[in-house]
Amino acid sequence: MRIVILEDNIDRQLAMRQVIADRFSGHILEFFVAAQPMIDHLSVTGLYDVSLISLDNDLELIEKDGCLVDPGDGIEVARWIRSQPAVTPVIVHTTNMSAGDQIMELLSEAGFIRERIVPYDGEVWISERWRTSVRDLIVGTEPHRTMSSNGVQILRASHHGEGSPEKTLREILRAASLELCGSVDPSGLCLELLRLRTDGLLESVTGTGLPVLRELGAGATIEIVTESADSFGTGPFSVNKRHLSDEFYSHLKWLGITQVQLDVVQPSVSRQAILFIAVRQSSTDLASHRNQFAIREARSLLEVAFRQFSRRNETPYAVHLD
Amino acid sequence: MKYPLDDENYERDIRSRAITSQLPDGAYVFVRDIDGAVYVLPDGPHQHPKVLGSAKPAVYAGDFSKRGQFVTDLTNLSGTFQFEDAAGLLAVARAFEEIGLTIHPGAVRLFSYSSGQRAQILR
Repeated sequence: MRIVILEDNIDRQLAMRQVIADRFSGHILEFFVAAQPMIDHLSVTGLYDVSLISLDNDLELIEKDGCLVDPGDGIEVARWIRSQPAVTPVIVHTTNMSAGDQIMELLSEAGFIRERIVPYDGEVWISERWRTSVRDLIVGTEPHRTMSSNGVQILRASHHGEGSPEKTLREILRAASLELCGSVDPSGLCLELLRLRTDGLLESVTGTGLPVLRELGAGATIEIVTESADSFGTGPFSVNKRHLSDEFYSHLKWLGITQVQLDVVQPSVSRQAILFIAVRQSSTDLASHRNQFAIREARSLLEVAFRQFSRRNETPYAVHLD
Repeated sequence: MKYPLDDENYERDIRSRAITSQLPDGAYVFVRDIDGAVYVLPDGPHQHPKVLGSAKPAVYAGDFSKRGQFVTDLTNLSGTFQFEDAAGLLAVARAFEEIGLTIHPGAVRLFSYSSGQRAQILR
């Protein structure tokens, strides 16, 4: 795993190296003193093994062959980063307030987890603010991206004249379900995207096909992970028409699913969309706890997918999966 | 058992103490000594060698965050000790539970120093 930093000040670089060595000595540290070389490098390597990016904005002119060369700035790098899947957190460390604001805005629009630090007092800010931010961002995000194929799927997304975002999402969800089933728990786990209708009922975005859910068969327990459980409360509730659309209710009954488990988690991909996760186990047993990482992984996958759609104003996409 | 890579003879920090459930909320580094006791210090730059001091060896080291009775993250991150066996970190988690702390699901995270692999969630 790598930590990639745009910073041309030698004293700052030294202080940052010490911070990284103190806690993340297993990570490869890459410094760049100009924007374009950093972009060129990351264009080749991608971001999927990058645990953290930290960006300064204003860089010193570089002497090359007797001439002074413009090294570019952090905004240039941020513009490139925003074109990528939001799979790594970014720290913006610049005293240039307007540039810092601009970088934060660029990254925010693209859905990146980002944090702003305004340097102070020589290099003191590095051992104080920057150190704790680096630690918390890496510890908080790196393990959640354990399935490299998530990135591959999104990287392979391409324009397609036919189809719809929902169809693409269905494909992503199905692939993710199958992958998670194989890697997390042999007894199965599946995903479906639900929409909260204006009448307060849950319905399936992808229709009632629920191909993977069917494979789980009767007796499965369902977990619905949502940012807003106001309408439902939390905990288990029986499959009923009060909460579910007729179509969805009928399908669940046909599958023999009788109980739904509702959990509240951190804000999700969209206020309109709810990640729906079905597992064989109850939510309180150990196997289900083991699945929690997979649930986070699936949410991460969906977040990337949604950003891809929203960035292009929901231009229809097709995702090619191997 | 490992000795710190930084073998400078640091004094033991006077704030170093055996972990208890009454520890104030915050971020900490920890070192488990060869007798199995877990000592902690408030997080800060290069704190691990100062938890036991005198370049004493440890059987595990890392850092964690505590909120209330919950340990919200627990890792093997320590540049000077660099333990990376999962069993040792899980044993520390059990030691935390034995004194009444609750390990948040997904909190125990093992980082690699040698393989370049991304971190794993152990439990």
